[in-house]
Amino acid sequence: MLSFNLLVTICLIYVAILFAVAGWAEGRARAGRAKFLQSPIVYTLSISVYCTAWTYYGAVGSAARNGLEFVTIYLGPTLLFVGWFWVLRRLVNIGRTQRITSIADFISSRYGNNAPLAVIVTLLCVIGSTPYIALQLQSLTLSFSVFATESVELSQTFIAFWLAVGLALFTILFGTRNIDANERHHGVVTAIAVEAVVKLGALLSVGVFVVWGIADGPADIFARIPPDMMAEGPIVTPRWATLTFLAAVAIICLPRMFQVVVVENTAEDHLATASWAFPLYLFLMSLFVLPIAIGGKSFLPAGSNPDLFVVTLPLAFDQFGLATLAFLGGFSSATSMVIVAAIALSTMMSNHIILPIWIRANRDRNPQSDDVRSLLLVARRISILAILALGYMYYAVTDGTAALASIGLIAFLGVAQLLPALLGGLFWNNATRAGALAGILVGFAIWAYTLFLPSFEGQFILSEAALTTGPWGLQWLAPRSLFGSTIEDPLVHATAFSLGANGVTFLIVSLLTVPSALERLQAVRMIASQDATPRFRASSGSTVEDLFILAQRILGRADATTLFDRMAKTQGKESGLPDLTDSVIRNLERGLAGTVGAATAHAMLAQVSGPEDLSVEDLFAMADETAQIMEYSHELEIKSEQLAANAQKLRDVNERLTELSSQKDVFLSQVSHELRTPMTSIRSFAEIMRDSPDMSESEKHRFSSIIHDESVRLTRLLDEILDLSFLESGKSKLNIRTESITGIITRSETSVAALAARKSATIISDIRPRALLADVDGDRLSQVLINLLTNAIKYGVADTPIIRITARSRGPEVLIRVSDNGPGISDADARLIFEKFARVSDTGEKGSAGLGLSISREIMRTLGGDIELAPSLKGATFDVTFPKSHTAQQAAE
Amino acid sequence: MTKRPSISEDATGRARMSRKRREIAIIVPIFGVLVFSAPILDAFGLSSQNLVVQYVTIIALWFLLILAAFVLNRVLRKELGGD
Repeated sequence: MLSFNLLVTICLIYVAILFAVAGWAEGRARAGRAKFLQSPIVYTLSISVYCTAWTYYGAVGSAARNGLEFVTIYLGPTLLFVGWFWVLRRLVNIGRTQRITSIADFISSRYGNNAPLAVIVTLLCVIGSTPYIALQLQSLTLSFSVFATESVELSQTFIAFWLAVGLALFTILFGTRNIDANERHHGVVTAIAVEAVVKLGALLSVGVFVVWGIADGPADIFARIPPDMMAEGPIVTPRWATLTFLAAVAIICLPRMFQVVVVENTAEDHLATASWAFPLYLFLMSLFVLPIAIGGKSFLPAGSNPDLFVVTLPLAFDQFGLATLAFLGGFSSATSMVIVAAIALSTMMSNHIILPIWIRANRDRNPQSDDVRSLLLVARRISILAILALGYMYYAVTDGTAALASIGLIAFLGVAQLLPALLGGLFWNNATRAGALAGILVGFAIWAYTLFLPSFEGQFILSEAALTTGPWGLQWLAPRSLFGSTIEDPLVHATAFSLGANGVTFLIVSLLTVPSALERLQAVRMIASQDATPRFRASSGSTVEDLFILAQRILGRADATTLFDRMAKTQGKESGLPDLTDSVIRNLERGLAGTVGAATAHAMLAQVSGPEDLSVEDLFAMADETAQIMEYSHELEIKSEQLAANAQKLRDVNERLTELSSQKDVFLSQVSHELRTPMTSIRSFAEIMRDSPDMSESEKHRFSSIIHDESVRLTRLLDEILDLSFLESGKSKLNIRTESITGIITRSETSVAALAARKSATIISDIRPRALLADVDGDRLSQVLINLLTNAIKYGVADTPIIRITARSRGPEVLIRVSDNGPGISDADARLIFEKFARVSDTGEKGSAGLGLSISREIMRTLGGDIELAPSLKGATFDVTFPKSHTAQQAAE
Repeated sequence: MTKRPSISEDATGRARMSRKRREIAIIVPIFGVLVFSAPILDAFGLSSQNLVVQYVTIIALWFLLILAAFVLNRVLRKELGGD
């Protein structure tokens, strides 16, 4: 009998061999000798990571329980690969041209590089893959337990825990060697190809042993079919169709399958080979499933676990070598699944969740590349541990009671929620991010409610009562008969509701929303790129020089040279241009697509390098692409114009600020000058009085009068500056009320009467109507009029000075005009009179700081009016306007 | 003396062949879907047969589908411009 310890040792040796294979493959790839590693056969075998412990052990269990139903899990992928030209080719092309790293990357890129969408897809994939990881633990635990019961007693939870730890370490060592997520994992892929051969060989060996070793050929084994497996009935039931559909969907939606089919693909023709070779692999994997199930039910004791027939049958007949091989086949199935799933999921988690958070947290400092590299390594390792931990927890909570097949199906339907967004992204230009997001969330919620949570059988969130009678006794919400549905099969029920709601939501929301410019651009780039490679060949009459010239015109000389140098180095050339191969053309097209768009790049290269004319589809694609780019450009143009307008506004504001700053400097300079003059007088006369004790009383009186007058002038100047400052800052408080204009003018005349008498000036007022009213601050308006009258008296020098002040009602406002018969104001001076400290008269009048008109203008503007110099034939005329009283206006109306 | 086809005739011929290849590429998987996901087999009375007959029939049809995929792969490679 094979001891448990020996089995563990064999496993470790097997793992060591896998490490050696992976190391060898990595070494060859680094040395540029990876031709075999990049062959279609290795690619096809790597896709066999689809065959996990579920298909290895669970298919036999399913055959023993449900007859031919197990075939659906193989038929779904077969149908998808047979139709590779329409879906998979498009997906692989996009993956290569857009350098897609995961399914989350694909969906988020297609919908405008949307980060929240990538996070949601990543979380969905992690949650959807958790039952799958648990399934691998369960199958490995069960198979280990078969050997353990023969030698040492170990609890299944104990085995599962250490298996999870071992798988985590194995995956960390195996799967985190490369940091570039888009770089091919040659080592891992080669090791998985080896594992594919081992598991196929093991299953075929057990099958041959059962059919010809235990039984006497196919006829004998089929003659032993137990009665419970002979039940007749329809083959293609709703469950059959659902299983086939889900198995097909799993090929493109499961993260690990996306990784091997799309991300690890190096050439389109590999897919062509896989289109028949992978179905053939699945065919061989399933060929002996039914005979083994029949053999197990015929030769093993009743009650034997059908999921373990592959191992227990050889053990029952003392075929320890074959049992070990069978065990290694199962071990290979589980480990390859866990490795690739963990690589794919950890890449998604680190790229779409951890790295963005880290970058946001370190926005203030400039991260070094080593920081990012270390972070990615740590993030991926922690992600792997977390993924395995989740799988173990699911296994522990469900207690490993569910059949393998049912666990796998839960995972299939979970990730199938990405299908509408994925297919919509591949085929529908107008699919939107909002539609994808809404569809995924709705579908995922219904999946979790109708299938995932019920899989815990009442031990997690949903109680047993809630499962049967619905939460809070609401029968129509019962997870397995939603809205009173009569679909008996829980999987069919959950598939119909979750994917149906998902698809409808995706469709409706996409129709109701408008894709952004970036989404439209990505749609054109991705959808057009599906025709990007196939129809021209390097064997046409063009030369590589032609392509180099074309590349220079589009990319510029430096970028074109870099691109061609890289391609030449890939071909082993140290210098010069590369040889013209299909690969060179594809790389060039990819390079050009980033600048001119995929369809245009394709059309250009088709013209230069291909013998075929442009097809109508090419022209349509170009036209679409050009239209989209033009629309995008138009939007950019509008944005640019808006930016230019904003920049102009900023420039204007800046100029205004500069002007204000300059005015402030001038003002300060003028203030200093104005203050200095009286201060100098005050200081000089004060010094004279201090230093001349013998000064006469009359002189003392004269000097102290000068000091007094200058102080008064200084105080007035400071008052005016303060007043102007208050007015300009808007802090001045006005006492607005309805006042009589006649009264204000009379008060003003009275104030200047003494000055007018001194200058022999006559003031003539003419107010019509006399009862003219206005909503003004009377004191302030009077201040303005006094200033104007004072100026007219002082500067309106004439033989017989006459100053006229008239008031008229003019529409909604009042016009007060103050004019004199003096020399007037020249045009040059007219531009300056409202400036601060502007004194245009050469009359030598003292006591004026030149702020009067500035203050007057600020007052009038604060009152909602204005003051301006009116043109006149003789003398100076100022017009003061301001709004009438509301009451007066209403009365006039 | 055989008349040499004009360039436009040649291009039309190639386009027609390309279209045919693409049509075959869609016909084969549709055939597979109809056979294995619609109740066609049941309509031919397979549901009343025993497990062995059902198994052998499905295996045989499956193998035929793989053969068709193999042939299709050779045909469609011309569309890829590959080897």
